[in-house]
Amino acid sequence: MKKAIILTAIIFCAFGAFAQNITIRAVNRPASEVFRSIMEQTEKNFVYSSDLLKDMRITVDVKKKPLKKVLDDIFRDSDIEYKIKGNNVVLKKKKTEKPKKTVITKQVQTSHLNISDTVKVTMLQSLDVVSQSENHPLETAKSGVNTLSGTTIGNTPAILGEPDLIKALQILPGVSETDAGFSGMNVHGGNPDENMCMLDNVPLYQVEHFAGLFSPFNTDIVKYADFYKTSVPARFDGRLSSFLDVHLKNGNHKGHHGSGRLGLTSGAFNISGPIGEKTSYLIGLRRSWYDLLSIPALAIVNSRNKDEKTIADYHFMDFNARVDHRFSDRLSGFVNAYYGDDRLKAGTQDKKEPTEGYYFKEIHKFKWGNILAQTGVNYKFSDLLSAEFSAAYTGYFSGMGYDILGKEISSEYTDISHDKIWSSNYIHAFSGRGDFSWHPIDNSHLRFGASYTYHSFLPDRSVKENIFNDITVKTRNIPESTGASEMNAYIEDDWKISDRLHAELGIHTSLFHIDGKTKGGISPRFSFSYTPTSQIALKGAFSHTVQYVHRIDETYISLPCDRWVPVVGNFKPMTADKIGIGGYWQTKDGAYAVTLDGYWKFMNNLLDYRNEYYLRPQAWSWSERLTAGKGSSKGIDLMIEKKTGKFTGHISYSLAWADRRFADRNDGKPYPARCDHRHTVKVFANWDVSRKVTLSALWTGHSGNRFTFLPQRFDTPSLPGQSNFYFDDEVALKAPINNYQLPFYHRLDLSCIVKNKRGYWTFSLYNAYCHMNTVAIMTGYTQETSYTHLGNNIWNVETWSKPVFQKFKLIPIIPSFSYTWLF
Amino acid sequence: MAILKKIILFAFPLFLTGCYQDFDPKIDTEPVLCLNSLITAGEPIYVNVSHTWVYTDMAGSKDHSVDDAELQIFANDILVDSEYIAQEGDHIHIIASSQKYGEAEAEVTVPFATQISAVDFTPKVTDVELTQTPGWGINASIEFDAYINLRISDDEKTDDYYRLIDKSFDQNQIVSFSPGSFEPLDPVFYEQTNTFDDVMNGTYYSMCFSDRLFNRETNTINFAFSPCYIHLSGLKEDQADLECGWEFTLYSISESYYNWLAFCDQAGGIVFGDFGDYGLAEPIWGYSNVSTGAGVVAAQSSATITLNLQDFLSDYISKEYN
Repeated sequence: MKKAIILTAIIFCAFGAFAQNITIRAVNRPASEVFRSIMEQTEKNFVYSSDLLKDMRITVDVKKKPLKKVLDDIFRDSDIEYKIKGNNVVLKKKKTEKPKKTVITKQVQTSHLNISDTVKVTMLQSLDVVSQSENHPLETAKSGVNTLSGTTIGNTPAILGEPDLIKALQILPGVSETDAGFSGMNVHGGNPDENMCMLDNVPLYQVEHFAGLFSPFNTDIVKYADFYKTSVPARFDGRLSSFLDVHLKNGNHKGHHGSGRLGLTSGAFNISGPIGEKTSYLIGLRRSWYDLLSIPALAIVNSRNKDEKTIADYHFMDFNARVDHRFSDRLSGFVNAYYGDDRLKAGTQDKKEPTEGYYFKEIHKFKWGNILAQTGVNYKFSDLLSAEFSAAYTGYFSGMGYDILGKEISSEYTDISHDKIWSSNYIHAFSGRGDFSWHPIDNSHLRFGASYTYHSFLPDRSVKENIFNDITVKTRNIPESTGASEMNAYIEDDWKISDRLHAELGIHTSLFHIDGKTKGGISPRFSFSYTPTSQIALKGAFSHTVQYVHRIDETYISLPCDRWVPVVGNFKPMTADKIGIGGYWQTKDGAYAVTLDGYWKFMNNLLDYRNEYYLRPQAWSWSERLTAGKGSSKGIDLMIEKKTGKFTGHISYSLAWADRRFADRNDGKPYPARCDHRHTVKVFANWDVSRKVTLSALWTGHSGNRFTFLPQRFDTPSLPGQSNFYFDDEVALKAPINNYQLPFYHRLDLSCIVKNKRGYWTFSLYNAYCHMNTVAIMTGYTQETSYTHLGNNIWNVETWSKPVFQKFKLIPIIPSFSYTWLF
Repeated sequence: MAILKKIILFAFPLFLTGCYQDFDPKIDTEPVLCLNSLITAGEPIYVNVSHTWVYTDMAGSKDHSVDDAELQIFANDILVDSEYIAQEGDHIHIIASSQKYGEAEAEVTVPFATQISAVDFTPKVTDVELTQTPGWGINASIEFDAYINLRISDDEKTDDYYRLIDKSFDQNQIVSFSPGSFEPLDPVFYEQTNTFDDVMNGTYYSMCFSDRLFNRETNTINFAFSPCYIHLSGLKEDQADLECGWEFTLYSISESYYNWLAFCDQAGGIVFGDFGDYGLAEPIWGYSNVSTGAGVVAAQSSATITLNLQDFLSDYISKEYN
């Protein structure tokens, strides 16, 4: 056996933390599944080398036995020995003994366990949970499924050294960033709002901080994240393109441990520990500190200006809290909360209000974010049947406004001009759900459940006051909130038909009631995997998804004017039908693997802004500015991976097409989607140089975004009343939407993690060779000069401005570092 | 815009460092005909025919006239000549063609003028200085805010679009009138306000509006001017000629006219102007109601009412002296 270089850890669920007695019944189940059951009943971490448990299946039947007894049973007569070291169960191959056939474990050539590829332990105190084994291509019928551990996310180079889950997903084939450096993602040609991001199975609406540069997940407390982009389990619905389910770590039952991280833009702190014998907690806090860094600069600016004070304050924060409690062997419960927001305040203010003269104050404020609260219980009816019942609230809010005050003060009279506006958007969702997990027979895992959600939308609420002395003009737009009821039910079966054939069948039904109308959707799901040999899997999948809520935004970056709104009026729910066909092959030792996924997606009832919607009055309902249409995307994702050893990574290539067609956009003609990236290449490499040093590199290259390029100009009509400050006497001529492909996008990101006794340093270089990528085509002028020799050393020099097209390029090389202290 | 710059300066300097690079995009595009016209009731119809050009084409930019253009104008489906005077309610159809640039056409209906039935004026005097010099007359300086309601007869059944303009006047050397700044006191002036732009830029209003937010209970449009100043110099007691005030013209404009002005407001904003330019939002093109997408054929008619401050002045001065 190779040295245990890459440790694979499977950590605990808190339920059953101190109940060391274990009840488990498994017949010929994959080792990973058995260990997951054990870790759910204890809080032990299983630590072992990547290939130790390969092909291993376990049969065990124990009831309320101590952990040691269970492990003795499992590993008796095997070539594996275990040691319980604190919170970890360390598995090793016995050195002197030759492998023997075991009584209760048997090697099955057609099954594999290889979970090391996504888990690397930076320090034993900071182990990660992974469920990759359950989603291993040879083990699951699903295709296009990935699981990322917290460490994988941490190892992915990211802008400003800020570990970011969404950016870690962007290294996968079929996933692309909406704009250079931003967290929005297009999955298989879909729009960013077609991705469902969930925190422990509860949707989050706003998944971007700082205009989209960061995602809201505090990666220090992320246990793992499951990402589905082709096969979609029937338990998920509500988005068209992908589903991301982020799971937080559970609280530590043995002691109070955590970490603190200081980076260039933010700091994070998290701690977890026991509360009594049956309860554990986890608290995570992340906050940017750009506002703190800017205090000295602002102080200098303000000290130089005696009259005026400049105000500028931006920060974002995330707060997570989770408490787990075990009531009994069968019953456990949890409470989970999240709050994240961005706040920006900027303006100027005269330092003193004069007794006579002019006084001015101008403050602009923005805020936007999410709030989530969830509670639930897990109940184990029997070894084969368990359930989770939960209630949750999730909400998105945004607001922006200003307060501008001008006073003209004289001894006799004061003229006051005071303008105030506050505009806000809200979406609230209250839900209750029950999910069941049942193993009726050994080869079948049935999941079923139902949920009810009440949505409340308030997307366009604004109050505006223009006060002129004693007259107030109040313009209010306070629409009544729109309520909607959503009901969902699903059933899915993970069915191992034979050793070679594996299928997942499911159906998800939903009803959405709004404005007196009920809309419905039936979403069948089907995936199969055929494994003719132990190294090959052939796969197929079909999924139908329905989306009732969508985001309307006028810009490509995340701003507080983005609004989540329901599908209302005559619009139908957005739907997508996706067909996936693929294959997987790995070498015998599992060190190398090749994945090929083809997909074809048909999207119906998509919503987007109409042509020239901005000419319609702002007071109109949002739905009157929208138009419905269709879209399709197709492509092939090819990935070659090296999964074990000091040097791991992958190379992927995607060939893709994505287009849209709307009745009231682009004159009804089809046009390429903005994310129509024909070719995408990604190379990711991770090198464990030593036990203390890890190097990572990511090179991304893809066809440029599609862009609406307006090359022609025409004479403005010069109508009386027109404001000419933006253009003089010419204006852009209409052109087909997304008619131009921006230049090929590419960049290299590097990161290095250096561990020491107390923690680790992370150094990163974003865009290491400083290739600033084009994000837009602009118009500008360049100065031209001509020299004419007039004789006798006299030159005539002429200078004029020449109109030119210009590539606008963003984001140069960005070095960054952070330090994480573990305790 | 100032606040945007502050925010960008504050928030983005570390990484949103941009640069520009001149380049030739090599895109196939053909010039087309452009029609521009403002048809005013009671006036002949003029149409400006030109062609579009690629932004970098300096020659095209300097001269985009069309030598071989042929123009046909139909009024209520009847071909008319250049002497034709447009009337309120006329449906005008313009067709232009050129061997080189193809064909372009546009249609517009000349709106009926909406009459201003009354103008209500409420002054609020904030400062007065009055002196009387024997042999010279009265010198006065009056500072006041003027609150004005225009009562109009908007047709509720049709979508109507308006543009309001004000023009101050004073009649002679004795009266000097400074009308102050326009203060919009009616939601109609904020109809096109994009909330995000408004927050970023500070409040703005438009003198071009539709009747969608018109107050049908009062049938008025409300605004103010502040601070207004009237200076009287050497006014004799028997002198009655104190004419000064405003002339308000309410243009009833076609939808294409309104759309063009609305486009101008949006194109100068943050979302479509700045973000669109920098690739952070979809860029927008110039509004057009011409078949080629180039140019605007608009129409208007107007009604005017005068607000004379003479009575206000006379009353005020006589009250001050009594």
